[in-house]
Amino acid sequence: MLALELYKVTNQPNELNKTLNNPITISGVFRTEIDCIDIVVEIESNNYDYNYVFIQSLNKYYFVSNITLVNAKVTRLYLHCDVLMTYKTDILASFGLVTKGGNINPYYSNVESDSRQDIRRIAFPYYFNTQNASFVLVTISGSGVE
Amino acid sequence: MATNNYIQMQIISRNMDLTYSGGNYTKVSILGKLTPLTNIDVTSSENTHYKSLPNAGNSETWYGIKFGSSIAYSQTNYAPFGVQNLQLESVESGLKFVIDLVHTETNSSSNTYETFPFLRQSATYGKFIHPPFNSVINGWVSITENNVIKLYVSNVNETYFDQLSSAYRTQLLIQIIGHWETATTTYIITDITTNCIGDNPQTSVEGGQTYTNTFTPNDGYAFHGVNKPNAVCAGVVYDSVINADGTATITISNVNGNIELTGGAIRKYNLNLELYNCVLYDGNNPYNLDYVLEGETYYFILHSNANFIFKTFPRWNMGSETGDFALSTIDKTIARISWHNYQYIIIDNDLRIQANATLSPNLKYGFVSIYNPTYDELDELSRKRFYSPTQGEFIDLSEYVISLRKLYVEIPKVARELVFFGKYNTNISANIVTTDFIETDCGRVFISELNGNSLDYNGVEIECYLPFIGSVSLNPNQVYGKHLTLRYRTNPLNGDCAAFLITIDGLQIAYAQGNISFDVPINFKYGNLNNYGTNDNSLYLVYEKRPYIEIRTNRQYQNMNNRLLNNNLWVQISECSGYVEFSEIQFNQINKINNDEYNEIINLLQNGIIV
Repeated sequence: MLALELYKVTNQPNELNKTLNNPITISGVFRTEIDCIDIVVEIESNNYDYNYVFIQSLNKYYFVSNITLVNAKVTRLYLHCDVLMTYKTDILASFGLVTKGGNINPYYSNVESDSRQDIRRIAFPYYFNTQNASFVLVTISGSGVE
Repeated sequence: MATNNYIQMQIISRNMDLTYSGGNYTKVSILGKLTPLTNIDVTSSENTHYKSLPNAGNSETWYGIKFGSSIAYSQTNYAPFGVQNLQLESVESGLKFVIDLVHTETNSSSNTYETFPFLRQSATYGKFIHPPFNSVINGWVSITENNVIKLYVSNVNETYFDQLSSAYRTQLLIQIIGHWETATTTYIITDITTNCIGDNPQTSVEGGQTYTNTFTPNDGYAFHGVNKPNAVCAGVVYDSVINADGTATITISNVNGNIELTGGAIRKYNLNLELYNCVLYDGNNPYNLDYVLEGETYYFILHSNANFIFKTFPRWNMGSETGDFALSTIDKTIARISWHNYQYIIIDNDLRIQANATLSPNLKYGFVSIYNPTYDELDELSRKRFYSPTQGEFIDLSEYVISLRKLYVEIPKVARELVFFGKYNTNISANIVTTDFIETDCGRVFISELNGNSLDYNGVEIECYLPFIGSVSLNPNQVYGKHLTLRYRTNPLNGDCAAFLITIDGLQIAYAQGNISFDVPINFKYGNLNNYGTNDNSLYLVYEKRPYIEIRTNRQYQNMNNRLLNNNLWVQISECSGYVEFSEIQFNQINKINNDEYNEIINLLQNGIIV
């Protein structure tokens, strides 16, 4: 018997990082010899709402590529290893020559780029409050004693 | 010798023999002197009831007189009993008898009169009553300054008698213990002060004592000068001292005669001051009170503040009287009150003084006066516009108004003056404008670079928006990394303004000019209202009144979302995000990966993954 962690993932298969949802853990048995890439397991369940599996004993992630109902109690899962998720650490540490796409520091680019105007406005602290206007009255000075 | 059931009393002197005379007696038949009791140690523990006597000694001799009831005691007829107005006399003159202790008891064992002063050594024997006596004890025991004593029980009062209610008592004893001391003279205090009240209600005072009385003037009155309260004691006059709170205190440190209190408070009249840029003095001293006193003489002088002079005569008004202050032809900073050609005034009514010192000519423009009225003051002034010197005749005082402007800067409030239209005093005061220009500090901003490279300088546009003026262009080299301060200077006469931008080092990097005001129409001159209320500069109508600096910088963008974009950058995969395809891959293996897995990873990276 081996422990299987079943998940439901919505990521595209070529996404490096998968978001694992609705986990459950069940027991199953291998129906084939293990070659780690493609394996078949039988589980005692009639729940088919899972498409992703993590096998703790192998430390690998698998796509559920097919499901067969053996009888009323036993379901057979055909699994294929997700090498991107399984070896994510290795892949991120690797180097490659980017040929397409990728959000990379734009200033490293030596080819096509786009220049647009960026507008910033920096206001001074003080503003002229028109509600506090002052009146200035200028009159002829005629008062006074000589 | 008396027998049992008779009340007896003893009057005992602790330090000197005594005699008696006179007196009114009730139920008293036996009088006489007691045999002195010598060598009494009232400080000993045996005499616990007496050791608290004043100046208790360990070898006292007690002298005494005695008297007793002529009628045998019973429950109902023991009172009234005693003697009144008995004159005590000592062997020396000039002494007074002071009661130190009253001792009362009923006795169920002794049945004879004592022949010498009795001294009770039992801890619980009788009641011992020390001064000060209360109203009950003073009702039947008292003595005057002239040594006239009263020992008179007027009714059955058990309060001060031990076991009085006992049916087995056979004898009632009352013992008065005192001493002779030098008599002091009592002096009479006579208060004939007026319009005030003292806080010391004493009507007499012992000679040698200190007498103090603080007087408070009645409402509407105050103390002043020679009329304040004073006292005459033994021919010496003691003046009161006027306190900060307006009260007056008389102190006589050693009373040696009768005291007569005279003087008093004087009626107050309101002093209403309307002073602009000047201060009122009485003679050489600033006058800070808000009242003047009836009948008092005041030498009022007005001193103008620095840089101000009196160009008009200050005026005063007292009841129906009115007059001007006198101005010197030489020194126009001083104005003296003039009342019937005197340089003082004697008060008989409320006094009002109005004085308006104006800015010295060297700080002003001479021909014109510049005011900064509030809206309410302006409204008030507008109602003074049509002046009627004679019935049916009107003068339009707006002829004397040169301009009225509305400025959008705050004018410093330095001083106020009465507003004059020509020679006409509106009797309305307003702030005056004393400066040639008003400086408005709009604060400081710091301008930082955006890209940190040439994009911040090449093709960049930097403008400073200046309310009421417009915009000025700035040089990026003078702006980036600088603290910039913006200031306006405005001419209050016409609203012209100049704005200038300076660095923290005081370097001016830009300036511009405009107008920060508009004319308010006040007249219909030249038949055309349009001559007023207009302004070439209409920027005061622009919405934004806060200055700012606007920087329009070019910024380079990578087109991240274009999958067709060919990058050809050699990067670590962790530096990428979004969809990315790789051609050549240097795989850094951390975990154990078999060949099939490796091939699949390489294949995926080449066909594109989402990081």
